[in-house]
Amino acid sequence: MILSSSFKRKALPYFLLLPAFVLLVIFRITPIFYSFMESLFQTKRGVTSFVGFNNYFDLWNNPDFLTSLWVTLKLNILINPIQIIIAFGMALFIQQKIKFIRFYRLMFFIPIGLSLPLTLAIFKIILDSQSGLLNGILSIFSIPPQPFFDSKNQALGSIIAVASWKGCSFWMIFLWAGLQNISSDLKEAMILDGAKILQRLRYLTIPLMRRTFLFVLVMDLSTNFVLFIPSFLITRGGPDMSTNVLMYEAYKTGVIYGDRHHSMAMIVVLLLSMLMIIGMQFFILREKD
Amino acid sequence: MRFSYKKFFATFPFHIIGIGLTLIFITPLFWTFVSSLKSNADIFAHLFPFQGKTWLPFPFSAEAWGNIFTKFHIHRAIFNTFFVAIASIIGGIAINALAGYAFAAFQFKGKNTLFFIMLISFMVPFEAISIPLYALAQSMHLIDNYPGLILPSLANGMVIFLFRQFFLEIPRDFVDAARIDGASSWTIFRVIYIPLSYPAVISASLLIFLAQWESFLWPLLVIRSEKMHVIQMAIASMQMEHGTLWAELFASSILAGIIPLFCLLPLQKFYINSVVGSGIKG
Repeated sequence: MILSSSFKRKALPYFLLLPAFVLLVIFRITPIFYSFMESLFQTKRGVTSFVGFNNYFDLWNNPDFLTSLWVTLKLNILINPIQIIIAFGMALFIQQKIKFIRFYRLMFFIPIGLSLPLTLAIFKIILDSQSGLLNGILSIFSIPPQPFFDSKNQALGSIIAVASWKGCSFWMIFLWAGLQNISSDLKEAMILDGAKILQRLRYLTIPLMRRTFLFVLVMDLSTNFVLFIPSFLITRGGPDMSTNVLMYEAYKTGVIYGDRHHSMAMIVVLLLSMLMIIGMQFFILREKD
Repeated sequence: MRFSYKKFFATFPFHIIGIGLTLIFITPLFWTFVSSLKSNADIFAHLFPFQGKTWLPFPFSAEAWGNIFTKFHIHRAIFNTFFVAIASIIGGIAINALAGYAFAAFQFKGKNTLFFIMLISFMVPFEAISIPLYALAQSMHLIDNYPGLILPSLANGMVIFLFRQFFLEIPRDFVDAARIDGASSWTIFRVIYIPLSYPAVISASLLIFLAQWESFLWPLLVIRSEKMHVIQMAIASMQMEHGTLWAELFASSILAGIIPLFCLLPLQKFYINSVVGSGIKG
């Protein structure tokens, strides 16, 4: 009796975890290994055979894939700093004790409730090169109509703008929470010492927010690394491959062209980059503790 | 409070920024709403040269709002999404709360490894594994049915983490007192943890609801027939297949935006706690 009750106590946590972990393993962990396995095979005339790393060598010689790597990199180098700086500005703003601040706060929260496909559907029309609202507004200031998504030079920038319109509010929440953890005593002490706003930002707020910034950077990076819905819904990767991100290339290759094994190799490249980003975060956060 | 010029001028630049950003956030939505109340021919009629009429719903037409129900059956997509979301909330809360309890209240072998696996599972974005998962889903008969939409996101590392964080805050004294009285771990969970955890339940429900409401890529991969469409697919297909029915597209976008906003705004506090709690404290 005693034995069975102690066994029950020891086994209980595993039973509690069982349903969640069965599902996590099937739907989250298996696909990671599955994509790696599949990337080592190739199907020719209905016969599937092991080809080692050949699919990866193929990718290395595939200009579309290399372009997609470059576009993904370019997108991320631009979008992450832009979003974090704007989000930080917004977080500083909604902390102010001024009139109507509750109203502003509410307005700043709105994009969080809108999904990305919905935002894109609306902005596709607003940024239309022929009859979009924005070109109409620009015409008031005698600015000629802009091509936005239709131009090789503006398409990626337009995607960044729309994704940031939607995304900044979300990152603002994290940075806002980080700001609230900073003790007001420290801030008041600095004000008494005559520190101006910019000095307070530089010597107090930003250093104390290091962890929060890092967390937001990694989360933002891992979100934008797989950001492909704009390419999918609006530009189809174009014009001229200028918005052909890695995730879209993998989707096209696997789902549209049915070239499963090369698509899985691209996914593995994506997952490895992802794991590197996550590993970096664990590494940096650990050394501080 | 008396009006003071000094204070007004000191905060003036803030109001410029605040109003500017508010306009950036509101204008697209306002125009979308107004345009949904016009006929398709009138939406772009006054843009070049730009006239104030663009901001007004005249000549008024509510036809698009009727069409999205009668022709495009948007209520079916909304029903599907709600069905999937509610099933995911019920199943998700049960499964993830139990796992959160295990991580918060027990010491056991392999705990750190399991915790690490759970962290990885929610830090790898779903998009990245969606294509291999789609290949697996085909062999599990999860194509074009409700289980295919519900099962893959039921176990959610972020929700487990949320419950764990919440359960960790429950005072040990309560639990110890109950244990001295002879309560089993299961009784303790039922009598102490569950009743205290309603804020975590609300936060988690909100998180799961929004995730299902916004999910697009996964339904796009596994759903084939139109009657199984969820809301984001309905909007995307309207945009891609009926590209010139702007008023209908706008009306359904407004509808799809309003529903989560109504859930989100009154429960702002819980939402913020859930996303922030999962990140910063960790």
